Amino acid sequence: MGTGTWDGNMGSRLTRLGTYSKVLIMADNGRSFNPAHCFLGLVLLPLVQLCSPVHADWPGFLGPGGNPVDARAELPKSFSVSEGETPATNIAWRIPLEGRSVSGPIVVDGKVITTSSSAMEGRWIHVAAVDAESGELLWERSSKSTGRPYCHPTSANAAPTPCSDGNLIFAFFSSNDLVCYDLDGNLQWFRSLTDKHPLAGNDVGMSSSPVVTEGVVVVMVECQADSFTAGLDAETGELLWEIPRPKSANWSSPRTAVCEDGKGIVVLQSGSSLVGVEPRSGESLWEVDLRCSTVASSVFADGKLYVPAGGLKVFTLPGGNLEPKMVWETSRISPNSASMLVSSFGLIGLNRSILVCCDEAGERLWNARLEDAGQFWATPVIAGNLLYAFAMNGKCFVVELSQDSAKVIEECELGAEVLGSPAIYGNALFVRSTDALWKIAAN
Amino acid sequence: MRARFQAGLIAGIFLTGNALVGPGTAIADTLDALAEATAESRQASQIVRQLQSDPQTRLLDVLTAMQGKTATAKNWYLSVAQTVADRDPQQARAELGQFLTRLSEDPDARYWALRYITQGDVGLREQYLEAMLADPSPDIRYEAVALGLRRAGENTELPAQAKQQRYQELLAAARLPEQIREVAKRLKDECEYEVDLLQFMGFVSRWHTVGPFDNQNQSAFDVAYAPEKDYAAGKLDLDGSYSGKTDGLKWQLAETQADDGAVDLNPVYDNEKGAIAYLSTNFNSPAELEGEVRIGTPNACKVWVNGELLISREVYHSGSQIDQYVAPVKLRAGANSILLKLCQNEQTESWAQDWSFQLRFTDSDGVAVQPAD
Repeated sequence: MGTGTWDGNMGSRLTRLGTYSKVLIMADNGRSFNPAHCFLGLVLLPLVQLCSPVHADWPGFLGPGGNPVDARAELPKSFSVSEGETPATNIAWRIPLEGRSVSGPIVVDGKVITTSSSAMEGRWIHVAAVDAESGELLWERSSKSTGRPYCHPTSANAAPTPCSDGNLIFAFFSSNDLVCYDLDGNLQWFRSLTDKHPLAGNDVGMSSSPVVTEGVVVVMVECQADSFTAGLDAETGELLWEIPRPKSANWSSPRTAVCEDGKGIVVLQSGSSLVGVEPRSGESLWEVDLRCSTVASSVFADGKLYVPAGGLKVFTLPGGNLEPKMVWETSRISPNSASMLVSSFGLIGLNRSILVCCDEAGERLWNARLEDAGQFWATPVIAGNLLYAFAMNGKCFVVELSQDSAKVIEECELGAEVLGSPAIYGNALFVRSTDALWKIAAN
Repeated sequence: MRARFQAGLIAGIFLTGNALVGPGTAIADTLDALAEATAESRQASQIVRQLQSDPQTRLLDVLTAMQGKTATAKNWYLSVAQTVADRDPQQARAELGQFLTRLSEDPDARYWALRYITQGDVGLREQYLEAMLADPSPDIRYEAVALGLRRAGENTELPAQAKQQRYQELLAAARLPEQIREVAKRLKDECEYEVDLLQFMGFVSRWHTVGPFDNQNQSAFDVAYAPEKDYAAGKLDLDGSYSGKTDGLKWQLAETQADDGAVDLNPVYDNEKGAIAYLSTNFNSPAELEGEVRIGTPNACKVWVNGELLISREVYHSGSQIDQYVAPVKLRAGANSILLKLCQNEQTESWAQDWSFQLRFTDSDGVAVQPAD
C-alpha cells in the first residue's frame, strides 16, 4: 500500500461500514446472531478506518454505492503506452491475461479481481486476482461453463462485472454460471443456474452484473426463453428466492438502493417495468409500468433513483410498498449503452458519443462531443474534476469538469479494446482491456 | 452400501464440520461424496473446504475423480485441484505431465492440466499441442487445430503439396464448425482445393415444407397445426392439403446448395411474417447409432426425430450459428423421420428478417454422420 491515501470520504466509509456490518449480522443466516459482534463491528470498524490510510474498495459494477464517482481520487491527466523508444507514461503496469473479457475489474482489499473466458467457444471461465500495487498475479481459478457460452463476437462469456461484499467474490458469466471465492481464491461455492433453467440464455450474450446486499447475491437472467431473477445466500450459494421476469432480452443490471424509511431494496428494470424487491425474501414491494432501458442501468445517488427510460426519469423511494415518486424527467440525457453519473458537477450521461450534463431540474448545463470515438460500452468514471471515458477502440477521453462547462483536455490511446467499466482505487485507475489488465497512475 | 456410507459421510461433515478424511480410500470416498453433494451447495462447500485444507488430498486423486461426473460437479473438483496444485506448483506440474498422457481420463481435467503445466509459457504450450491433434479432449484438439492453422499460415516456404496435406490433416481433426470452415477456406484460397462443405459437414439439404400457418403475436409456438398432429399420429401425407393462413396449402420442395447448409424459407413464403412453416424429411442412417441432432436458426423452432420432440426453443432473432442447439438422438439404421417447426415473428428490424435453418446429425464426437444414400 505504498501509495496509500488518507480516505476522508465519510460517505465512502459509511458505505463500507454499512456493507460490512450487514455481513456481520447476516453472515450466518441469523442462526448465531451475536449483538456483541455487531457492536464491535459498529464501533471498531470506523475507528480502524479512521486510524489507517485506506483505499475505498470498488466492489462491483459502477463502484461503491453504484455511482462511479470518486471525488477525492487524483489521477493523471494523461497517459500513454510505449511507442518505439518513447516509454509509457503514467501506466504503472499492464499484465496480459488469457482469454477475452468485456467485464469491468473490481478492487477489494488491495486485490484487483477480473474475469475472462477462453478456449473453444469461450467455454472456460476464469477469475484472477492481481495485486493492485505491484501487478503480481496472485491467483487464477478456472471453471468450465455449464450453460450457453455463445455471444456476439464483440462480447464474451466474461461480460458481467463481478461483485464483492468485502470478504467474498461473486463472479457471474453469460453462461449463467455463478462462482464464489474467498479473497485467497478458495472456492466457497459454484452454482450452475442452467441446471434448473436449461433454456435460459441469449446467444447475443448476457451481461447483467450481479449485486450483493444484506447477505444475498442477486442475479438477473432475463431473455426470451426462460426469464428470472434469483437471490442466493452469499455464504452458502443456496437459492433463497426466484421470481419470474418478462420474457425478453435484458442486459441491464440489478441495482441496490436505500429507501427513505432506511430499508435497502434491489431495483430491477426491464423493457416493461421498474420493480422494487426486498433482498432477503425476493418479495415484490412495488412495480411501476415503465419502458426502461434494457442496456444502460439505473443509478442510485443522493437518495434518488435515476432511471434511463426514454430519457432520464428520477424517482424518490418512500419505502415499504409505496410506489416510487417521479420527481422530474428529462429527455436531454438519454444513455444508450453506458450508465449515467451523478456528480457535484451535475448529472452526466453519454448520449452515444456526446456527453450531456444537466442540473437537478433537468436543465442542460453543457454538452461535450467526443470526436471520432466510435462505440462506447464502458461507463465513464469521475475522479476529482476529471472524467475518463473509454471508447471500445481503447481511446480514452479525459474531460475536465467545472460547474458550467467541460473541456476534453486529452485523448489517450490504450491501443486495446475496452468494453468493461474501469475502477478507481486510491489514486489509480484500473482498466480491463479485452486482453489485459492495466493500472493507470501518476509516475 | 457405498451410497449409505456417502450419505453418512455428508451428514457427518455437515453436522460436525469435520470430514472423515484420511489417506487412501477415505479421501476417495470424500471425493465421491462431493459429487453427491454438489446439488446442495452448503454441503459441498463443507467438503471442499476440508479437501482444500487437508494435506492428504492428492492432486491426481481429485482429477481422476472427475471422470463421469456432471458438468457442475466437475467444477467443484477443479477448484480443489487448483488449490492443491498451488501448494507446490513444481511438483504439481510434474504430476500433471504424467496425468496428461492418460488419454482415458476426464477430458476437462486433462485440458485443465495442460493449462496449468503451460501457464505463462506459450512455447511450452505449443510443444505439447504439436502432438495433440487427435486428442480426445475437444478443447485440446481445438487448440491443436488452431496452432496448426497458425503455423501453416505463417510458413511461406511450405511446398504446395505439403501445405494441402497439412490442411487436410487439420480438416480431419477439426470439430468446431468455424474451424472446419476456416480450414476449407485456406484449402481453397491457398491450395485451390475445394471442399464440399455441404456434404462434408453432413447438412440435411433436401426437405419438403408446408405453410404458412398463423403465428401473429408469436402466439402459436405451442399450437399443434395439422401437419404436427399427422406426424404425431404417424400418418404424415406429403400429398395432403392443409388450411393455414390460406386454404389448400400443399407440401413443396425446399432444397439448399449453400455451403453452410442454410435452407432459406423467405423465397418459399414470400417473406411472410407472423408465420409458421413445417418441414419434413427422412434421414437414411448408415447404422443404428447414438449421436446428436444439431440445428442453427434465428427462429423459434421444434425438432422431432422418429416422433420424439428433441429440441424446443422459443427464441426469435437472438443470435444464430451452425450447431446452435444440440440434443442427443438415437438413430435407427435406415430411414429416420424428421419434422421441423420453424416460426417467424413480426419484428421489423433489418436484422430480424431471416427465416432459415441448417440441420445435421453428428456422432457424439462431433463428426458428421453421412447418410447411407
